[in-house]
Amino acid sequence: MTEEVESSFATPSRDCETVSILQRVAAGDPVAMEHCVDRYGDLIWSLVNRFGPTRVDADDVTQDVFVQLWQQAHRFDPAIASETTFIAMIARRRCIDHQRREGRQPVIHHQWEGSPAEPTFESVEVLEQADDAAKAERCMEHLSEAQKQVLTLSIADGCSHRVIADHLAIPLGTVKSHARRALIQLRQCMGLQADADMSGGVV
Amino acid sequence: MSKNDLPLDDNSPERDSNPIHQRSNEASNSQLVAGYVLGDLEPDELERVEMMVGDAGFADELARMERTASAVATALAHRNRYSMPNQLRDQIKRDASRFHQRSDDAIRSKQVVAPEREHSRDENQHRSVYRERLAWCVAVAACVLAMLAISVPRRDGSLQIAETQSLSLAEERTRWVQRFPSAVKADWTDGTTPMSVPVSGDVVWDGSSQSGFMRFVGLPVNDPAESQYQLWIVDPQRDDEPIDGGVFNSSSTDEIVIRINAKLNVIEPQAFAITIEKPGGVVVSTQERLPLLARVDAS
Repeated sequence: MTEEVESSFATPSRDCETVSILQRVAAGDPVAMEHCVDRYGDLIWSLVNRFGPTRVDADDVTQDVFVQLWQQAHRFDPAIASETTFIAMIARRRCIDHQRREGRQPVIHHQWEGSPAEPTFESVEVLEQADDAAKAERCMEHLSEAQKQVLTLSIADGCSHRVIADHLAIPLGTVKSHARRALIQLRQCMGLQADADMSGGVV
Repeated sequence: MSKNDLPLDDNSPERDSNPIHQRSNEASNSQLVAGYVLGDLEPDELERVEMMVGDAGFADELARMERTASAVATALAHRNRYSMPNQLRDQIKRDASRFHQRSDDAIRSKQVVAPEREHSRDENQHRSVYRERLAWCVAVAACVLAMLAISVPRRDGSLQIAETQSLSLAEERTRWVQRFPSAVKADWTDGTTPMSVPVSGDVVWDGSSQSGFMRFVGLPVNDPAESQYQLWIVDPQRDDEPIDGGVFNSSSTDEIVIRINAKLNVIEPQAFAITIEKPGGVVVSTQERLPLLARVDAS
């Protein structure tokens, strides 16, 4: 799994635009908005689907995510993180907000909506630029199996820790401990790499 | 930005200078931030986090932790990628086009500001990188916190979205009304617990740009340390619960204008309500004090 992801994530595009899509969106470029939908639509849809228990929810949240992107695009700074990370952060937050508002919990092992995505030029390019995701993938290899399992259910599936505890039949305190420590561990693991990358030749 | 900037549990200078205690407190604070991002904080932990909100060290740590969680989500989503349905993709593109056509002045102003910012960065790149990183982290943290506001009671003034009045806001509203002639408009009327003095004014809202303003004349001056006004947008199309429209203060009984910044996407507002809440506002209002109401269909 790691090798596969590394092969698609590890090499950042060298000829990517000097002005990012989100920067063009922030400047009011309508074409950039369409490009943004084409390039990041599948990623957002995949993130949202894991949270959303119904197709209606997923549609609603996905549209919300894009409205947020149009409104928040000016906050994006490519010197700090990739577009993919910025967009995933917004998408994840919208999912959490929606879930809390609806008071729903996702069903573990639910059926995915939509059809499996065929790799396209756009989606491959997104993955190549998702440097943070590649780092996360590598760093996750250092987590214990229990930590990986808890973190996946918590972050990707949006399950509450109580639901995870019931599902895995382990104490709630253990779930919290696994999740928090795993996230801190990943932040430290990724942070070291990120600092090295960002400081190179600049500071 | 160093992790040492994180606020510590004990404010004692002697304790702060002890490196062992520092490391222990940093670890504890990281646990809190991780729990915050994962949404598993207990009430007492949430209170401790509230005390850290507004601190640059907290913002930095939160931004990093949030970025980590998002990277994990992206990596895991890649394992099971699915294509967005074409119908939805087309709908979003149509909405984007409308959003662009009717975008508010804020978006237009960025077109002017952006080149200057770029120029400045070129001139001071080496000196400004650290500052820009910090600013970005704070901005992202503020953004994240604003989005998290639905579940976290806000106490810190820095998180207030609505702004108090100024002449420029009144002028901005005037221009905005000209720009969005079909915007929804509703006049303030007495709510369930009317003010002891007459209050007039209106609220204007445009759905395509998700922007709007409130205008008040005669709104009693509040003491922000004791209570604050909070806007709620009633939108049955969106949700049974009203949408938080921001916390604000009144510093004058003359005309004041407040910009609306809804926390969620508003679809079809039916009414706007003002409640009086504790400082920082609330997530869910008991509506015990609801002095003003503006019904869209009644205007």
